Amino acid sequence: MNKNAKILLVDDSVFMRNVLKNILQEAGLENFEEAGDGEEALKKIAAEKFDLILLDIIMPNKGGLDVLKEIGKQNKVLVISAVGQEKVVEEAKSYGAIGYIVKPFDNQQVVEQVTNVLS
Amino acid sequence: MDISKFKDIFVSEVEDHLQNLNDKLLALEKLVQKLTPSQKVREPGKEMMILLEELMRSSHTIKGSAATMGFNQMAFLTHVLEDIFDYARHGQLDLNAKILERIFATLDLLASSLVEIKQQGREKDVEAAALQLKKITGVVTQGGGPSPRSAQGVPREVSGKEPPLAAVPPATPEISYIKVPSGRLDALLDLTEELLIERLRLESTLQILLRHLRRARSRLHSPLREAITNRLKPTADHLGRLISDLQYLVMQARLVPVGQVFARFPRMVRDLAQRQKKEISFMVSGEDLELDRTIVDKLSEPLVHLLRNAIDHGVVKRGIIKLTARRERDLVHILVEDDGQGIQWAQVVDTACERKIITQEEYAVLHKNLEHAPQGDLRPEIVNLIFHPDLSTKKEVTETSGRGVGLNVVKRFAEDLGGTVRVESPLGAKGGSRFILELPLTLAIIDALLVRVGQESFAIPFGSMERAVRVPTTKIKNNMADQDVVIMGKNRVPLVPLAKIFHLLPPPAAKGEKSQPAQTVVLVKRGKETAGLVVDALLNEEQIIVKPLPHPLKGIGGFAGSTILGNGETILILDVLNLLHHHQRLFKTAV
Repeated sequence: MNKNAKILLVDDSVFMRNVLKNILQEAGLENFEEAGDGEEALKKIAAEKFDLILLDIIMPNKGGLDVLKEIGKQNKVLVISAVGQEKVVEEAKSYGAIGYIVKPFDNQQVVEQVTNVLS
Repeated sequence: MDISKFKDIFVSEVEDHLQNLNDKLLALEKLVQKLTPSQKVREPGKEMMILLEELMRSSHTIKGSAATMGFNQMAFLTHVLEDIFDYARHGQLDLNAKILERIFATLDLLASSLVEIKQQGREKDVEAAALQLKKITGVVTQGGGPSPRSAQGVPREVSGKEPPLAAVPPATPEISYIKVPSGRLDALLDLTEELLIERLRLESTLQILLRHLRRARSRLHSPLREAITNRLKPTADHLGRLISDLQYLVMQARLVPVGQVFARFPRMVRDLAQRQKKEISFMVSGEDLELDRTIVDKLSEPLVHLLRNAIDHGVVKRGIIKLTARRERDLVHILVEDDGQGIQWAQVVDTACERKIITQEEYAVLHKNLEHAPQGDLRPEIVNLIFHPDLSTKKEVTETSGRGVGLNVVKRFAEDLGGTVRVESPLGAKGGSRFILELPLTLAIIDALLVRVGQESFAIPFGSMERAVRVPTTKIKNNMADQDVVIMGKNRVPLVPLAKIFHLLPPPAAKGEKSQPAQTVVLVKRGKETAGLVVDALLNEEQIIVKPLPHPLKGIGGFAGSTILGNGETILILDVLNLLHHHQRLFKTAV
């Protein structure tokens, strides 16, 4: 796994971003960027290339599905959301999400999926 | 990974979301009340949609975070809330007054559970509340995590085709904020002050060096002198300016908007008004005004008293209550205003007489003044009565006087912070009252008089002193209880000999003289009482930075903190109120 992989954490909850960052740091990753809503995420994605984007669904100023619609096909996006509806999961995948993890998640599951994408 | 290390950030984020939920729910309630029965919530309008979206999203975020922290009951309860708002969004739920009331109660419950999490690390049992909420709203919610949300057969679009939020102009603020623990700011201020001291040392060392060099006329020293005057000195000066700037910025960083305190009042006013079946529209302005954190922290209690008063006794049936913060030169004014019946001053004076706060003679004078004074032009003695503690202790007094609940608390608060409280009533022909809290912008910097006692210096805050006088020794009498008093006008002012209290030795020079012709006395006020602090000399007045005393020293009493003077000397600041209290107790036990 590339330890220097650049990861964008998109979640409106600072708490959530901290938890995710911590899990991934313990797994050895160290290069993170954060965004608090969909619009901020799109701006950052337009400005630089990320190796992986972890994306929440329900956020202010553009939700995760809308972000996916715009950039899902050209980027590696892993959705991490408390929304577990099948319909939403399918929609996310149709926009190009390579994985969908439902909150509350098992830390190991997050690490595995992320490692898979990055190796 | 130990999830508990994220507890603080979790708590603070959920606090923000609960505040947001309260605000949005209040706004929603206003919209619902405006609807005609036929409109109802079945077809939420655009404005209502935006609120419901926001309510849903906040509930959803709490749910996700709570589940991650392992607080499953909180997750479940917020999940129910999320579903309620989602149902309403889709016109599947009529958010009537009863349901709204229940949701408000739920928010309170969540807040108290959060307090428990904060203090004890475990959540409250809220399962019963969640089930009940489910029952009265009919939402289907399962489990703390995600549940199949199409249980009622109605598809639920999470991010609809045309999300209502897109209709609102994006209000993304340009300034970004981070949360910083306040202790870190205090530490930063401490460090800045240490820097300040070091700079002063550097300065005086430079002076000494230069003086020596000037005396030594050797040519050898000339390059050295050059280096000091042209390089080291400018650097030291620049360093000094940088440190001053830094200090200013750190002070600025301690300022927080009063909105932090104001935010909870719309909800409180609503609840109280509802309980008393009064129709009150509550207007808040000036939330952005910034004050020192220490003041903002303490502001809540007096404002609760003032708002309660306005609701209980000001507004009769329906009316307006305004809470305003505004800057007036170097003070902040916080106003609580109502358009109610105004204060019944005649009753206040009657009650004061009954309670023996004033004598019969005073009563007669005041009553005459009341009858003849033009509107709003009352004698201060009358106005001050409503802040008297005895006027507010008994319940029946409250009811007859109409005002007075806890107003002494408000006054004490203002005075503790070096401010004042004023009242204006009636405001016009129809009545109305206005309470004005005048507060300093910051507590961290105060004007103080520096005095010398023995060989020590102390600072006396200007806020608590009246003036300084020289009192001829002949005018000082010793009463029976070994208490020195000085006669000033009609009053006998008790003297507090600081040297004796602090067990300080007199300065060496003064030892020889047996009796001084006069003593220096600083007159200080404590409520209506005046006392005189006996000092050895007045030094000068200075703006000082108050540093609170660290924990073990805090308990001593008599000192409000310490400060570092321009010359690097550290001195104690007297806490006059406390000191007098303490001294009086000693004096009383001596009797």
